Amino acid sequence: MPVRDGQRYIRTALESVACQCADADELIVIDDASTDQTVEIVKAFSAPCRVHLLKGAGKGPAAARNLGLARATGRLITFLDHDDYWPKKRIQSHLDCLEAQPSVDITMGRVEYFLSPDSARENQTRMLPEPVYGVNLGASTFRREVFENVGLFDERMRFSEDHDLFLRIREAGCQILPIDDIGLYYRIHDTNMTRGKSPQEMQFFEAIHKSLSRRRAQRQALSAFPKNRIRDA
Amino acid sequence: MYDVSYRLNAPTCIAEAVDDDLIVINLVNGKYYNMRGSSALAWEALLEGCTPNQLLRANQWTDAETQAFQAFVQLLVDESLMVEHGPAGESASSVSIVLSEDPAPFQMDVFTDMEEMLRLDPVHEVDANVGWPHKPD
Repeated sequence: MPVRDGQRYIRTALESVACQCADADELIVIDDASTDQTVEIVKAFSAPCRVHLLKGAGKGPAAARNLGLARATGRLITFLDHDDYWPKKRIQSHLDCLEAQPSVDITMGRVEYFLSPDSARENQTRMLPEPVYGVNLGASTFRREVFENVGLFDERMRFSEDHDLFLRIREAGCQILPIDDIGLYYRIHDTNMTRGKSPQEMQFFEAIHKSLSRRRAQRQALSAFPKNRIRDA
Repeated sequence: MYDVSYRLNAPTCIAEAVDDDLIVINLVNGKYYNMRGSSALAWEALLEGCTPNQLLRANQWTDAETQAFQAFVQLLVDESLMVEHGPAGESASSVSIVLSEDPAPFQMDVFTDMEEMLRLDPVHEVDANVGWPHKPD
C-alpha cells in the first residue's frame, strides 16, 4: 500500500485489509514522504497479520510499490491504494480461484466506483459506470512469479505505470482470470492523483508506445534467426 | 464514403503521435491501434479535411495501393475511429504520400489484448450530457 499524505482515508483502507487477513499474511505500507499524520496512523494500527511500514523516497507510486515488492515474501501479491478499500472476503475470493486453477497467473475483480461522502462532486454520482474490469492494481491478485517474469514497475512513469505493467503481462502471455465479484471499491474524491489529467498527461500513449517498441524489437530478433537451416544427418 | 471529410471520433477515441507511431485508443472498449508511415500520413491528411478521393486524385497510386487505401479508410470507419464530418477542407487536396519506402502501405495494426481494460478513469471530468466515460470537448 503506497501512500503519501493519506491521513483522511488510510484507516478505512487498512481496516478493510485487517478484517480479512490471516497470521501468515503481511501488509506492507510504503510511506512516500508524507507530511501529515499518515505514519502515526499506520504505526498505531494493529492487525491480525504482520504490518510493515517502509520509508519511501517520495519518488511516486511505482517506486513505492517496488520497495514493497522487494520486501514481500508471499506467494501471492496484491495492492491497495490508501484512498480505496476492499470488500469483505476479497482476499479469500481471489485465493480460492488461484488455488483451484494453477494455470491462472492473475485474478481480476470488478471495480466499483463510489463518490466519497466528503467530495463536492455529488452531481457526478449518477454518471459513474457499473462495476467494470480495468487496469486497477487494487482489484487484481498476482502470483509472485508474474513479477519475476515481467519485472517491476517502471519508476520513470509517474502515471500509467499500471498500464505499462499490464501490457508487459499481456506480452508475456500471462493468464488473467476475470472474477465476477467486486474486487475493489474505488473512491472518487477531490484529490485523486489522476483528477483532471489528460490522457497525454496520464502517459497512456507512452505506455502503449513502449509496448509497441518491445514487440517490434522481439519480432526483429526472431526474424534474424535463420530459418530452414536444418540439414539431414 | 470517399467524397466526405472525416474527424476523429472524440471523445470516445483519442490519438497521439509518439515518435514514428501514431496511436489511437478507443476508451470505451479498450482497443488500440497503431499506424506508421503511409497510414499515419493518410490519417493526418484525412483529419486535416482531405477526402479520400482527393487523396486518391493527388497521388499516382497503383491499383493495389488504391485498394489498400480504400480498405484502410473502410477500416477506420468500421472501427469507429473516424466519423463523417462534412465537405472537403480547402487546403488539403494537394497532399502527397510517397509509398515507395513503405513496406506495408496503409497498414493499421489493431490490438485487442487490453480490451475492456484500457479505459478512461471516471476520476476525470465527465460530460454532463453524455456521462462517463466521455470527457467534455
